[in-house]
Amino acid sequence: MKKYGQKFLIMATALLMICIPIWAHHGNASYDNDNPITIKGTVTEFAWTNPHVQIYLDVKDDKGKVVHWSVETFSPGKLVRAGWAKDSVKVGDQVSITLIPAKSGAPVGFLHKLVLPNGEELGLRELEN
Amino acid sequence: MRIRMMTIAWVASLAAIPASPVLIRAQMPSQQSPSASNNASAPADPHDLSGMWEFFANIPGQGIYATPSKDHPPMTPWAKAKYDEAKPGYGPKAQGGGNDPILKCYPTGIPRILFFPQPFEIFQTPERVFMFFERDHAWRQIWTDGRGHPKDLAPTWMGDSIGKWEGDTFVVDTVGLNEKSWLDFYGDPHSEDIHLIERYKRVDQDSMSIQLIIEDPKAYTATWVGDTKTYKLLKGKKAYMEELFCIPEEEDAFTNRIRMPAVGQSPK
Repeated sequence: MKKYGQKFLIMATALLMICIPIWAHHGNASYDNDNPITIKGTVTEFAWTNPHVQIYLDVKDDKGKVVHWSVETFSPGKLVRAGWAKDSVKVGDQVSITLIPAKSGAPVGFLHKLVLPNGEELGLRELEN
Repeated sequence: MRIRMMTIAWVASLAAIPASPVLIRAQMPSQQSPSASNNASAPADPHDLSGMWEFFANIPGQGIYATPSKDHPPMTPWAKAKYDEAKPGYGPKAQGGGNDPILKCYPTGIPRILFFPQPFEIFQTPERVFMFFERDHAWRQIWTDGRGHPKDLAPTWMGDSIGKWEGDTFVVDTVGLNEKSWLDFYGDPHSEDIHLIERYKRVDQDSMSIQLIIEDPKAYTATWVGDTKTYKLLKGKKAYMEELFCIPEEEDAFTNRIRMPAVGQSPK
């Protein structure tokens, strides 16, 4: 059992070492790279523009109050290489977004993954596996 | 008249590119048979750097992103003063907002543009190697016809570059850079005296490495030897570059809607 725990720790450390840099490089000073969260809401705007694509959405919090979230991600070119298109997301879509939130506590984040109403996932992987 | 002659020469040189055998090789990666293109570790022609290359920070062992290496050499007082003024969004001095020149759409310049997470395409011709960057829609030329650097160069964003093969390494020598650009994302400065060496190596079918070596005695008291960074070949549908110009209104809108709120500040 102890051995299993050690193995797990080594694997978890290795996984972290692989994962951190992709968050770290875009997680500039503003974002909490280590604590991604997932939000669900209704898209109010999809801004397909440089320098970074932006998604704005209304999210109901625990008390049913609507919070307006602003989410940034890569540039359009990088998203195209990762399988996105300028009309991948539409106003009114119910989406789920995994993001790293602003350290300030403001409802702003950097997107890691988006799940569309039909279950399709859009991420940031540009290279083919 | 001279300008017109130069334009004609430029257009003629562009027209000559498609006939270049090197360019025909450049098109190979997307045209290979599936079995060949899937073999990432297959040996490649070491003197063929053509193709679209992108820097990915998530490659294991990639080291520090966005700067030649984690630690810069000791700075001169001149450079320290410039570094103290810099308010970068990345690195040890990272903060929200800041005064990064690219926020005002200044050209990114060499060598910083190499650290962007956006790809560049390399074209080789017998006399020159061209690099076309997605970021800024910028390009540079590296002369390989044996010429030296011109005398009395006026400093520019991309500088003057000459290149030659040392075994299987393509060595690019650049001078004539202006000091308006930051050297990297971390706010490290450079002077007009910078002498930049870039060492390109085709590691395998899918990988190329670049190492930077910087001599800039006005800014650093020792040579800055950078990490060897890995760039990956974009293939098939991924071999695609989009127009990415920096537009002041778009930058300002992004700052007001995302960057400022992210750090808990009201839009300007």
